[in-house]
Amino acid sequence: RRRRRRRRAMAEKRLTSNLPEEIMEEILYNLPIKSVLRFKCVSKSWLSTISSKTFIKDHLKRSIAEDEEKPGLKVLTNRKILFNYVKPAARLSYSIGSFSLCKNPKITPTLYDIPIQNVGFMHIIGSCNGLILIMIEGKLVLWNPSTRIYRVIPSPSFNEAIFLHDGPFHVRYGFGYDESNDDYKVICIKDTNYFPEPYHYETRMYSSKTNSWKKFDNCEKHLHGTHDGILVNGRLHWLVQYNRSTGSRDIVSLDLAEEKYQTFSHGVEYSSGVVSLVELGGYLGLMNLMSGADVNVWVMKEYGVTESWTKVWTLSNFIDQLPRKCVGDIGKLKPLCWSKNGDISIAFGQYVVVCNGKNVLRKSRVGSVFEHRIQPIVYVESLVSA
Amino acid sequence: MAAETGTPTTLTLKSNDDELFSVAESAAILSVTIRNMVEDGCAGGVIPLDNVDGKTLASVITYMNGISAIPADEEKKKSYRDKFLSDKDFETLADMVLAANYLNMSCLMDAVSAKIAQVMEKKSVGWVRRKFGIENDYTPEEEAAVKEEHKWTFEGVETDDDN
Repeated sequence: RRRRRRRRAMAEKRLTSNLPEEIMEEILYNLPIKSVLRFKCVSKSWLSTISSKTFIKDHLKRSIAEDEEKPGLKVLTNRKILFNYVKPAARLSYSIGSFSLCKNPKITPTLYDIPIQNVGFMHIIGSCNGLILIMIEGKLVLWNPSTRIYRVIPSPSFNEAIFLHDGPFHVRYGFGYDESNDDYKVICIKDTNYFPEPYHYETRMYSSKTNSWKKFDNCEKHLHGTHDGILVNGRLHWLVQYNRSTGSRDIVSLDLAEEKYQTFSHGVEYSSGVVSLVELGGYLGLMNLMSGADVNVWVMKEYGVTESWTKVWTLSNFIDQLPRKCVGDIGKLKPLCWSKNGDISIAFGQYVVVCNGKNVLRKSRVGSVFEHRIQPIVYVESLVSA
Repeated sequence: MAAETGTPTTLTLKSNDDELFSVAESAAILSVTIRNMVEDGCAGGVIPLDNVDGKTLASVITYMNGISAIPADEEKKKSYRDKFLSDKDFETLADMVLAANYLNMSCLMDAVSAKIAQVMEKKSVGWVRRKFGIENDYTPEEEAAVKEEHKWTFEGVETDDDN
């Protein structure tokens, strides 16, 4: 039986002075990041506690675990939705905001000052442990929006000239964490040409530890579309082009610690339409939008087990329940969260819709100033820096 | 035992300033520390709680009774905890977090830690030092350097209300 040793008796002095460190940490875990950072100024020992790797790691773990214990999406407080939008005042300038999945019908997002001024395209590539990788003005930026600390990553060099700001049309990225080496890694896969070999790539891998890129093996598959890698289970995933002659429906994964590719079948039968990989509540998922506005989402319930792919969501019969403005955005939907009780939240244009598989539970509009659809990504606030 | 008399077992708890409190065993065993003592058979007489004063123990017992009277409904328990802590000042909360830690009551510990964090959220660095009795061991230059690095976190800090 687990027994807790009786604690050393407190000194006679006022109890509030010098709370034991473990209690102090318990309190700090509950504070917003802004307050935690401010309290680095309290004393040298607070500075060293708050800056320590252990504290930062535990803080992150608790933020994630707390959300997982909670019963429904409306109480997911630590996980936020991060999105980019076009600033209303300056039509060509993008910025980033975030909001929690809350009950309120109108979500008021927090808006951030992005680290680099931009007058054009900005793209959120991925999110991991509170860090996001974004592409602004042709630069790759690794940024923690909660601590506001960022790092501009040097551009990878390829054999052929590459125009990074060509964006997702020629280059796929992937961003994730290699826990065994405490290293944040970025993958860059570039199409070297389209004809006659449709899938000849050049691949580079960036390590935050060395702050440099290295040449990396190409995956030997023809990747579907140009989407960025989907991070699940310490691995990045890309969908492989459906092979009509062999009938194989595959996903290629890259283990960030082992630095090895693996191919496995997803076995999901979709007839036509747009198909994409998604991350849902820690699971790898597949979304298929059919032309008749039918949407299906499957997830792989047991990682690596083909038979465990399960359809968790179908949109066909509740399109009428959606806000009318959403309907036009049907092709732009993105599932965001899948909570333990089965509720799924989906971004449609300017709305976040929560549904339980059959019915729409609530729909919230994100702010009121955004003319353009949001491109959301799930993220957890953390103290992590790369 | 309760089975023989049909009445709930009552425990007697003693604070470090020698106040005695009666509390139903079913409520008191929310504290893992007390539960272990009961299971070890040391609860026959008076249970001495050397690290908790009478005022704090009275408050903890109010909480034990209140929360154990609520059936398994996490929403209701949460709203009870919120209400219970809503009128407590900082010193009381600090005493309670120590008591909850010593008594090993995780639900109270979590709620009080969150409440203290809520009180602290917009407070100044000076307020925190005074309330937690922490000595500033920075030189003015060192402190200025740390502050400069996190300048934006000082926006929106409340004016101190304690002096």
